[in-house]
Amino acid sequence: MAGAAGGLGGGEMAGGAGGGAGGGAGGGALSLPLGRRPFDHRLVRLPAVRLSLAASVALGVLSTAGVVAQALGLAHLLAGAMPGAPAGTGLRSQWFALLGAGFAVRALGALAGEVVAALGSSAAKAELRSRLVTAAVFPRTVRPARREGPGSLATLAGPGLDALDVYIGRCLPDFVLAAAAPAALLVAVGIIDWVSALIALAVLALFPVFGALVGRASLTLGANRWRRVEELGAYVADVFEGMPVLRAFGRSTAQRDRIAKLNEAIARSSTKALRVAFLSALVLDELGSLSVALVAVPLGLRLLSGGVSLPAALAVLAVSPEIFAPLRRASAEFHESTEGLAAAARALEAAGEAEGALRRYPMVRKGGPNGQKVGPTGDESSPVGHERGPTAQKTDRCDLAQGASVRKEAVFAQKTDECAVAPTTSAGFSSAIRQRASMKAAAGAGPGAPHQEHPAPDPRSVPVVLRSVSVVLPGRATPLLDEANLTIEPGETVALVGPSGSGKSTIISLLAGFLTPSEGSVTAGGVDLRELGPRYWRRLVTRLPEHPTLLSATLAANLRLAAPNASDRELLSALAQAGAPALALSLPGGLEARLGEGGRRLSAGELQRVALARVLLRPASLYLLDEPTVHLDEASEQEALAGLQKAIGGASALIVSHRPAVALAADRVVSLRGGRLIELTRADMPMAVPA
Amino acid sequence: MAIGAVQAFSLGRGIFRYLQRLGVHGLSLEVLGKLRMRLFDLLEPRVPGAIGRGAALAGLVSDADAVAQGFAKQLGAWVDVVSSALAGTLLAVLVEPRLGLLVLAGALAVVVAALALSRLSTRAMARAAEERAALARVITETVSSAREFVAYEREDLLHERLAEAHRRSRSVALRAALATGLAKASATAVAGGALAAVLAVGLAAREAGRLSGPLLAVVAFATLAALDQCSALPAALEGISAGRAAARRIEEVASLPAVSEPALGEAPALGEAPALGEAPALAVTGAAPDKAAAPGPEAVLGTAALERASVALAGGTAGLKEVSLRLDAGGRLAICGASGAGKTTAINALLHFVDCSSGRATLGGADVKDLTRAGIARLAAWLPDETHVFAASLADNLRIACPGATDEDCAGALRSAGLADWLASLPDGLATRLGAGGRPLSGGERQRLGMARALLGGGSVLLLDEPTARLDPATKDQVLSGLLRAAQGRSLIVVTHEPAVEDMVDEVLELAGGRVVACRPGQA
Repeated sequence: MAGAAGGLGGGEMAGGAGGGAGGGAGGGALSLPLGRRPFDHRLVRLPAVRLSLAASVALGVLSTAGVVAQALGLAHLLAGAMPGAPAGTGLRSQWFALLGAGFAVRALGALAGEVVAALGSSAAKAELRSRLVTAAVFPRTVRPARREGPGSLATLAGPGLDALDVYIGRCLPDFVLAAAAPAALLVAVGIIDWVSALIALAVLALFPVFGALVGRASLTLGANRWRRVEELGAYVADVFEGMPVLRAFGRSTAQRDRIAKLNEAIARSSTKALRVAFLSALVLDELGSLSVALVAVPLGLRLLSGGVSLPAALAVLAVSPEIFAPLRRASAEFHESTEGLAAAARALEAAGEAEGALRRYPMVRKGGPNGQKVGPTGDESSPVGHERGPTAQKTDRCDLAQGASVRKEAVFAQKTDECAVAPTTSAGFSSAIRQRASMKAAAGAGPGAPHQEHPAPDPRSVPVVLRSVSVVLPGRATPLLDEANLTIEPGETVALVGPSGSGKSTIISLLAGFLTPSEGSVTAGGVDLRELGPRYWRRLVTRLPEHPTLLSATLAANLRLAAPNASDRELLSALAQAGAPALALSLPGGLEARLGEGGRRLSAGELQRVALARVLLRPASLYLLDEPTVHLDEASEQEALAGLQKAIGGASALIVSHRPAVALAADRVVSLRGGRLIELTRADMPMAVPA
Repeated sequence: MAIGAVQAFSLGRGIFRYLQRLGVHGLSLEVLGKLRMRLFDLLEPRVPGAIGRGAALAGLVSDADAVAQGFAKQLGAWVDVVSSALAGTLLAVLVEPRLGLLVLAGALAVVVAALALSRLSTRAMARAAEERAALARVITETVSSAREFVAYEREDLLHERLAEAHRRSRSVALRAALATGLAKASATAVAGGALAAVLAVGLAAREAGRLSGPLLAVVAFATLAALDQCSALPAALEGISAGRAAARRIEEVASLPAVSEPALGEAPALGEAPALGEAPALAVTGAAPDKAAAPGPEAVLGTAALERASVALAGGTAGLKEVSLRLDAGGRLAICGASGAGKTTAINALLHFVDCSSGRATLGGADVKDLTRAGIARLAAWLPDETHVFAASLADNLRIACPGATDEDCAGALRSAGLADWLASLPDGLATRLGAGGRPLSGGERQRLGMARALLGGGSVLLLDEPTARLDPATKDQVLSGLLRAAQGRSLIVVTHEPAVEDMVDEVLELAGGRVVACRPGQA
């Protein structure tokens, strides 16, 4: 079938240049009431979206071919019934078959279209989701902490992305079809009767003109009116949300009248706005009708003069309304696309914040284009960490060093092993200088050499240094960190104090390697963390975040996150060391008790202790602890601190806390104020009791 | 002439469609208005005792929108289907009655097929929505703990969880898509069959000489248009399951326990105008309790008590079980205990946000059951864990507590709540816009603003329900002591997890499982 073949060709073309062509049609021709582009090019660039878009458009064009087949069958059947036509009953079944085939193709196209839409949007969501996870782990900029509620990454990755279903599955293909299907149909009509095709093309060319005329008028008017409707709607929502307050002050009943009045105002202004908004649809409708008439009249005249055959004329008549249908559909869908577009923009922006990191840590994008370039430890599917237990410290270091270096540097790896273990035995707080000297001897190569040649700096033996680190919060005039300097000597425990929001947690993120400073450097033994493999560094660090999270899984599973091979006894003793010796006993099911959603909710103090136990289960060379004793009473604080000190042993530690007990337990106290770090003497400490 | 008729008809159709759209949307707006009032009436006696705070309420508001949208969609679809089917049938009947019947039967068949399969797809979508919500929780949890996975070198686990979530969500979406697609496909297929039947009968009639060729063409085209419209029904009905689920959520509110307020007729007897104390005559300070309800106003002002009060909550959660507590004028009481111990329920009982099933709650000596809302507001002020800030000026936000307050009163309340410097830093002072679209507040500022509001309300008992629960750990103590200092001489009850509160109150009450398990003096 010539029509179908032409249609498919058009579809391919539109699939390739989809964004541009459809965007043009959407921007001008559809006279859109909200005055914005229906495409987000960043979204269209996602491979999953491209694939499903191409498939949807191909199916749409196939359905269009079905429409043509249907029209041809109908036209020939009717032509056979016209006065003077030869009664060719033998041919009739063939045209019936064509008609049926047309309907069948459309039916199957509808079914396949749904399936493609579902697969496409879920693939796109999966891709966005993994980008969001990367953004959550490795942000490019510091965001004000927002863990829950709308706008947070977690919400965005979960329910937030569901708004994309309709947009990716339906709106986007229809926008592209608005450009592709009319073109395909014009080709089909042109094959049957080129004069009608030219007329239809001329009318089609009028669409942008009329669209622009109506669009310009309705755009400003409509946008203003919509804004008013939205404001009123937000006002109603605000009153509802504040109802508890209104009721507590005995003011809710008065608000009932107010809502009633607001409803009236909303109805009034929406009607006004809709009058304008639907005007563009009206224009499209009328133009479509007009064009059918413009096609029909000359067709009738030429039919009388014998310039065109009857079946051809009828077929053209049946097809020509369909030329404009996709445009109408797209314009109707424009309203629905708003929500999806907004969700896409939010997700893409949030994901974009990790783009820099994405190149470096493609950990959740398994098999992605960058999948091979994983840090120096190489193979990402079988992390070496599997074999580790809480007691397997020494062997672990060996694994580490071997993983971190290329085979031929085995000598260096051996050296690293020795020097990493040595300080553990001499675990003194004052042996910093000796350790540094031994490190220097082991290091040999100067800074700036490629990382493979560095003998794996370990914070137990080398200082960890923040040098002139500046971090600027987006939209904030004063920098969060302003050329901050901090040195954590090997085996030293540093307490970090400072008002809330001063950037303490940001320092933890920097030292943990989750955040890269825009200015300045974070180094271990003179090597920039960026040059060390992120995996390698993470293996040396144990971190307690400001807001630890537990999974809705068993208590044991939550603890084994830190130590997959730990025995139950080890888990229990970690809990005891964290100041929660009775927690497992108090829960139904003990270690196997489910926590979080569906299971028992822990109190803030219990949660903190479980998180602490997790830290204790994972020996490290550098401990980064954010408010470790928050939510704990004084007695449990002492227990937990003792446990922590024992675990830290000869390792280095940075502890953020405003508790005096923590400051007392540290070797020195540093205060973060105005973006800079200042050493505090015992006398300076605001809350400290003289030791 | 025929050309003219065709033109008039096609142009008229566009205008008809325009008017139809306007009409449908107008109606749906009316539905939305009614729905909001219904929602308001449902929520009024249940907030915040039976139904959660801010977020849940916002969800219900968007539910109302979803219902109205679903209504508009459905109504529009049906108007399209019925009008086009009737027009097609009418035209066919005029040409040939038997064909007319056939067209009508065809349209009905398409609609029945569409509806039958739509029901299937609606069910599939409802199931999908449930699973999607569960998945969303898993994903949210995974993303919020993503860093922990990475920090503990368990990217494998993270990847596995995400992949599993993706697999599940894809299969859920696929099932829903198959159901929807089947509905659409069968509607189209039945429409094709119906058109073929019309054509076959029409062609037979033409051969029998009962019908002319051109008329048959007219009927065929009309039938095609009508059936096309009918087979678009599944697509149009697609979104309505969301609307139905939203409607169900709104109606579920009705099943939650409501607080029984004294009937409006009794209000004057309590010394109140039926306008429920909205009159600006309400004094800023020194508000007297309701005369009839308070036996000896001066003696008991600033007292509150629960007397063997029990509260049953929906869903089997323990509320309160025979809890007694007593707050003397000027006293300070802290209520501690784990989540779900009944701390908030105790506060809600005192504010008559929930009814006591036995025992009673009193404010200023009067049973709260006998007090109107305005009456309670004069005796007690409430500060929840997250103060709602309205999208309005700072002054208007404060005057919710006291409509007649002057600018000096407002500034004074802000000063007492520790917001003097903040107020001075505002370029527009009391006229500064807050809330959505206005100046953002930090958590501490928000709670202090709530305190200022409570102080302005003039209630002599302050009920603080976890006032610092949503704040940064580092600022909690500071804000809490600031809030308690602002209370000055007023009596107060504070619900909190903060151990530091013990130094700020006279008495600490510990609840567990809805019962008082310990009562000890504070360190203040």
